[in-house]
Amino acid sequence: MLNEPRINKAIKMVAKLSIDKGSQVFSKLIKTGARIDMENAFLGDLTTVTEDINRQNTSVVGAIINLVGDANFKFLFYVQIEDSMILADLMLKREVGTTKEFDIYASSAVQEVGNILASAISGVFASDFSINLKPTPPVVINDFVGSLFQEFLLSSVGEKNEILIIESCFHIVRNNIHAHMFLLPLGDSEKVLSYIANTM
Amino acid sequence: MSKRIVIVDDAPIIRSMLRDILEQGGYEVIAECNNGFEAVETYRELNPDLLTMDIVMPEKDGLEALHDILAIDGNAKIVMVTAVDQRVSLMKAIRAGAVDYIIKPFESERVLSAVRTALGVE
Amino acid sequence: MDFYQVDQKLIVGIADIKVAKAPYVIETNLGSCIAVCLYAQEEKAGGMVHIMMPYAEENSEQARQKKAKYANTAIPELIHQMKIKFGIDAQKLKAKMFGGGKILKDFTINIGELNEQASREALRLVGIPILAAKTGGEKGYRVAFNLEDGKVRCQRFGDTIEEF
Repeated sequence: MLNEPRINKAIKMVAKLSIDKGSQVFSKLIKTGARIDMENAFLGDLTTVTEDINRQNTSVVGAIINLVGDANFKFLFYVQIEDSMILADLMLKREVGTTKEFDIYASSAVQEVGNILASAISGVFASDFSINLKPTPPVVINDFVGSLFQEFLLSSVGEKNEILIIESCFHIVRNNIHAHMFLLPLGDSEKVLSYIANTM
Repeated sequence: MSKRIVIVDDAPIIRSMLRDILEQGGYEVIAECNNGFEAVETYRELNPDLLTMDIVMPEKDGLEALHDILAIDGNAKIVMVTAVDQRVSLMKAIRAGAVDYIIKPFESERVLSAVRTALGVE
Repeated sequence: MDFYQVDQKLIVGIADIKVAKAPYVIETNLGSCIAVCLYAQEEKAGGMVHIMMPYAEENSEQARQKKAKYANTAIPELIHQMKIKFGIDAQKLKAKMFGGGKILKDFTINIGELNEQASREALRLVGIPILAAKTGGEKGYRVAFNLEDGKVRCQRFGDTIEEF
């Protein structure tokens, strides 16, 4: 069902609205211009998607958040470790480069950006489609990107072998941070996407 | 004497941001709490003039802590802090007795004005 | 010690099998998943499977779709591919296994531990000895399997690289 054109359209719509809202709150949070681009919204094979992620081989810090309510989604936001330190400096209004080691502020910068972005997405569902979602507290993981991504998928993929991935990439102009955001609909959320497709 | 404030948030970076804003605004931050349980205990111990309370937190969330603190002291002044577009939770908090709210990401002026309003100082 | 800087590198995803001969290096990242590496010394051939879950019901639809996902179907499939591609029998193969961490602390089921137990059991059933293993902990793993000598370089996140 997920690869039907109308569902695909709904996914793209949700992704676009989420990213527009996300860009606004993210720029406000870090008090500097940020642009979030949608990289991909696609239905991929579990093995192929994770093979690509494993190839990146970087150390990252990420926040995993469940969006629960009328539908269920899983949300992941991650950046490379060095970029989490820049995020902390931007949020604390320090000169970029002040944070030299990965610490609780760098970790909680990712936690909080994840939280704010996940809330922005749940806001899009509520205001534009009357679907209420509530974000759970973020779980922050500092690990290899491949290991983090596996844990993100683990409790959600279950017996499925195809995963719907909505991926976006952030560009923070002056500081060249690259961050990634993924949204994964779980089980019955396909019905919600179908409902959204029918309302468009 | 400056008013005594307790910050409740599970993210150290948000506690740090709020502390900077409040101290620059002339308030005394007497404690920081990581979750709702700590908030209730700290309220009992320190009886602050005001708490800023995050809503989404592990273990005991901000709404539960709000209920518990208001049960201890019906006049407790609590300003809710939450990420954008959590209107449902926010309305629940206001109905339950929170005096004001701040939406993350926040501006310094909005934080200080919410605190001034909550403390009844215009 | 560092990871291998080679051009002939294969990357393994979740529920994936890669088999090759020297000079290839097979790499993956692991969370609670388990990587089982099988090696035939004489032929300098080996394979890696990336196991996500402990068991699938035999002949079930799930197992048919992705045998490499479940320990009890993944290991027979890896052995099968070694036979089909290189004509190597199971008796010639030796195993090493890695991963199975508990990354998400709030998760009540320790899926990493279950994956490890099921992988050990599947290897025992086919009589393949386990020469080395590094499993468990609360962090992910990066592993690189060198088909030149059958050695595996393994790094648990935050630790130094070890060779097995």
